[in-house]
Amino acid sequence: MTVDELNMLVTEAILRADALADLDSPTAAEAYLEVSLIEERLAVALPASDVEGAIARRGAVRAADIAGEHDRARDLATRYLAEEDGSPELREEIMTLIDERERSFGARYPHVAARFGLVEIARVTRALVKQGAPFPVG
Amino acid sequence: MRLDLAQLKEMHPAIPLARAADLSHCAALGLQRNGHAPGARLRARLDAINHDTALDWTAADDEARTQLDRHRITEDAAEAISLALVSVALSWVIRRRGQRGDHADWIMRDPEGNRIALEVSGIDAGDHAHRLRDKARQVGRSLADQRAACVVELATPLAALATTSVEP
Repeated sequence: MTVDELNMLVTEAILRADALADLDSPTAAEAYLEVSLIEERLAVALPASDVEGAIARRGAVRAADIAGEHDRARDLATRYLAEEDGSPELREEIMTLIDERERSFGARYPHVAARFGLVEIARVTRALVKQGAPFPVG
Repeated sequence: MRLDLAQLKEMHPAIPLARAADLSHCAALGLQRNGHAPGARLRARLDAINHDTALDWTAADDEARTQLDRHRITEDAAEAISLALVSVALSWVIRRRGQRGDHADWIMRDPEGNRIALEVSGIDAGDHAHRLRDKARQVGRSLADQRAACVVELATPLAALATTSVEP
């Protein structure tokens, strides 16, 4: 698929996801995940040094986060932050997205965040999801 | 300069057909709500230069207004007029939509290949200059080569576009 085709797809996906979010639709999260997947494809097609490549990388992380796919958002952020050709502005934007989410979690669950730390909570969450059962935690 | 708001899809092939139709329809409703008819003059100001501009659109049934949110009509009308203006006056074309929180509604491309973040806002009447400053500040945080903000005021009607290049 060409970049032009992916741009058209991501445009349609964003408009649809925003419309569903405005309606408080339960399928809005799925729509944002679709946005994230298309943005990720654009990020593969375009280097981080390209304006549209940078926008796609930030968009992939942002949409994953809105979709509630926090592991995906963090994995994408880690991948994009490791790219050498990303601009300082892109790195800052991606780090801001991740920081915002962690601050939001910390504000919502202050005792859990203070006692265990967000990194440990994320690790346990991933282990639980991966093993498909609540105990024992890996 | 004439802006035909029914030609958004031809001006910007990357915009979804349904979206182009929605924008054109809302532009018609928004302009007619403010007492304008097809052929109305638009005061267009691109940075510091004024342009004598006429607006064409396919007249809409005013009854349709009751089915749509007033704010949405204003914002979509502004988007239609802005997209037509930057196409006709500056030969910009849409590359893609920006996500909410991305500081810009659209990523555009100019004939030299620069990518421009465009943020659009609409008001029925009021202080468009203040809104333009706010929007210019907002779009200033985007990742594009250049940034532009466009505010459309439907009562006059007028469109004010402010562009800024990214400092190297």
